[in-house]
Amino acid sequence: MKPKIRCAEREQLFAYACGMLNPREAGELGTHIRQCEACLRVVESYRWVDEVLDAWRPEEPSPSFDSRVQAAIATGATTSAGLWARLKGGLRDYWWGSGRRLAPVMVAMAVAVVSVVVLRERHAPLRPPGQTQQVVRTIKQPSSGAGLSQASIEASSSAVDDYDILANFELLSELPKGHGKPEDN
Amino acid sequence: MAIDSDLELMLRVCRGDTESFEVLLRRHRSPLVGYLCRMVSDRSLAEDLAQEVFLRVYQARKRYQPDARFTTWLYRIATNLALNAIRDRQQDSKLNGGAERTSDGEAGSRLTEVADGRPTAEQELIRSDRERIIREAIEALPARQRAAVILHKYQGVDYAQIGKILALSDSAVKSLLFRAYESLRTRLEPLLKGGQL
Repeated sequence: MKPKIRCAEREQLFAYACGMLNPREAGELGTHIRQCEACLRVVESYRWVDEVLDAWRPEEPSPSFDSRVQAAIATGATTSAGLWARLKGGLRDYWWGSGRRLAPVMVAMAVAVVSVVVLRERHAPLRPPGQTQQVVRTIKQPSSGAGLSQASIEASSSAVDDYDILANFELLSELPKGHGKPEDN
Repeated sequence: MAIDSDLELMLRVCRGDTESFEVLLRRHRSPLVGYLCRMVSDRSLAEDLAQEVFLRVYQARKRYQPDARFTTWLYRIATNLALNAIRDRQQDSKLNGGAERTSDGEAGSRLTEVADGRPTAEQELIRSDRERIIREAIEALPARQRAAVILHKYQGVDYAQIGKILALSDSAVKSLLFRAYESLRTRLEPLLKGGQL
């Protein structure tokens, strides 16, 4: 009765066909293979694959290859493929090195920064009402002359930064109706 | 005249002997370009990668430790570059909606055109067709299986050295090669049925 070949045994037969086994193992399996046609066929199939692969001829370097290598060495220049590989390799090495371990810390820091900014915006101290009205007055009645005074510029700047003023900005309601709409031609 | 070993040459390169580096370059350029051509199936890219390998060897000459064979070091650099190039191409292919096969096909044609600069006889056509089937069968293997097969079959690298190049144990290398040969056996069947042997 012929022994049934299972995957594990096939791997042994492959190792035998490729000469990977030590002399003792090769001797024992060789004795079996000489008696077992099924195992012999499997071994021959691997040898057949190995022979077929011989037909793939190697490529030779182009005549300019040496001079390109020497030029690259002289200038220390890397190829575009190499440059990209180095860049990506560097990022990958960083990620698989310290970067991945630091990722949670970096994410936590980013969340903390965003939280601080948001909370600062929400709880920014409001200006006293008097100061707010003064700013509005300054905008309503700019000082005479060609340009704004330094004080009004500062007041305007702080007004733009002040959420309270922006939220209650009523100057636009004083504009004539239709202002800002495109004129019909 | 005794032929200097790679190790002796590399130690001289470490001391600043550029002529020894040129000897190493002449000795290993053909197998290295051949290996990378088979790995990435694109001659132009293979030469770029081979150039990068030699450049890295030269730039790292001062840090060279003669505790492993020179070729192990050389092929480890080459294999890493090739595996990265294959992975990048697969990612690009996914982004571009699977243009990888087309690109490979074109690369295959380019390889054949460059390799066969002379008139093609019928026998040469059959041979080229057989080569195409083999190339496609090996290209279809996962990248590490492909590297193991090419190193084992075409570069004559032993299993222990393949293990060092691919950072695998001996048994993992044998298993990798077994799975690769199983796939190749199936994929190369058209050659057996078509009588192209």
